[in-house]
Amino acid sequence: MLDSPRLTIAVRRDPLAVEDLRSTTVADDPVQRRDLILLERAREGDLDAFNDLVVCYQEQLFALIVRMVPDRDQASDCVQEAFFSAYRNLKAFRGGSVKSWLHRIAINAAMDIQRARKRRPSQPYPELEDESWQPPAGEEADPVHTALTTERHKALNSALATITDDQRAAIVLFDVEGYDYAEIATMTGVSLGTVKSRIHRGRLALRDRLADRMDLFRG
Amino acid sequence: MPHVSEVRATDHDRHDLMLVAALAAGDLAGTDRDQAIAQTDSCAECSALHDDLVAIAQATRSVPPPIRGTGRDFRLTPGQAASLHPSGWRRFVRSGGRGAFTRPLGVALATFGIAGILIGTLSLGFTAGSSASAPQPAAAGGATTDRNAVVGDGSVASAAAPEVLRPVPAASAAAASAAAPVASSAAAAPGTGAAGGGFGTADGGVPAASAPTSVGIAAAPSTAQVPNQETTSTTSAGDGSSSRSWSPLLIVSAIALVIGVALLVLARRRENELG
Repeated sequence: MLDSPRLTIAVRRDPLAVEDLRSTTVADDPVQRRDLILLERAREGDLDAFNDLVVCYQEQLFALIVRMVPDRDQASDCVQEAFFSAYRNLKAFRGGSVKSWLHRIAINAAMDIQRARKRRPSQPYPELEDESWQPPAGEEADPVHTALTTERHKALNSALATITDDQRAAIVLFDVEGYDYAEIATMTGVSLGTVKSRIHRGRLALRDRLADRMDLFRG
Repeated sequence: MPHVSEVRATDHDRHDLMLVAALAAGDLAGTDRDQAIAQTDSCAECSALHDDLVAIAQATRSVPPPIRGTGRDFRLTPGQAASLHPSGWRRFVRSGGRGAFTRPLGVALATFGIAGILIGTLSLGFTAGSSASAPQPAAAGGATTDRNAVVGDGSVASAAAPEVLRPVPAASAAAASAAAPVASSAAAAPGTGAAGGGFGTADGGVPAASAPTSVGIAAAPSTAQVPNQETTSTTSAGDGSSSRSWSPLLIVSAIALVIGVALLVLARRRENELG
């Protein structure tokens, strides 16, 4: 019991010294510590270490990007490009959260691809038409509730597809991914006020798009 | 008297919807919050908007994640890794884009390039202006003559024309004299004959003294091209000599501008990549 990692961290936190603040902060989060170790090894040329990072984050990045771009193929391309970019720029990592760094690169890749394809609009969000997804069965397995939920998500995703890229990215990062304003500001490279403004304007735009279907969301 | 709902609708149009959105997001405090609450309390549409925004935010949070995985492995192969870490000059270029000096260096080079091009162009204009006002050596005489002919400097044109056209009578004086009447009619129509083609800009400016020679050129079908070619080559040689006088500064400036812009693009791309 005394050897458990949690206890080790708790014991180490007590005699906290100012000069140890940075290293202790990193060591506090085992995921971040693992990421930093892998990143350091990757910087030294260990491709396997980088690929371990890829395995850790590819699903997360894909789940994030697939909500920002019109289809899954584009999302795959964005994620692949993000990992390429991360590998090219390993030495540019300045510390902090590897996860945030990767997310930032992926968001930028998605934005770039979206801007590049602006003049060639494709079918919007085909996975939103995907009927294969069904809510998990449980207490809410009532068919009416299930149908209502599915319909609501489809309407919401369709509306999300029509707002601007910046607004969509901010809303997805805030509402879906659960990042706070400051993290989103860091990731997207804009000010805190801009993040808030994008989220507010994006929600107002969603409400405009969903004006005739708001009964799905009320009650 | 307007209906009550019309009055309220007009009022709502003037309401700050961003304030309601901020209230729905829970981002307001203090007087802003009080103002927003008062607005939603007094306006039914603002109140409905607030409720809708809260409902939309809740629905967005409950959107399920994509149930299917990527179906794709994003791990890098050794070949991809090698291509992403280029060697040789590509690495040099990439490392150039990585340094903090890239943007300042790019700006400096681009500025130098633009300034050099401006100075080079101005000096070229100055040189051209001085050459137009001063007599030129015989080697550049053809070009100078033509340029002056453009502005209608008849005296210079008349002085230079016999030199330029001197080979014509020597080459085929007989043919020229035999065909002279025919050519005279061609020369009589300014801008349409061979003389107009060879000295197109000199149609109005060439004085009568040089006209017979031009007529001679136009009239000899087999030999007429020779002086025309000579004149053309003389003209181009004159332009080339003038371009040689200003090209080093302009070339260096253009190269600096291109490199500077390339460095700026490199720095910009890198910023975009990393956010």
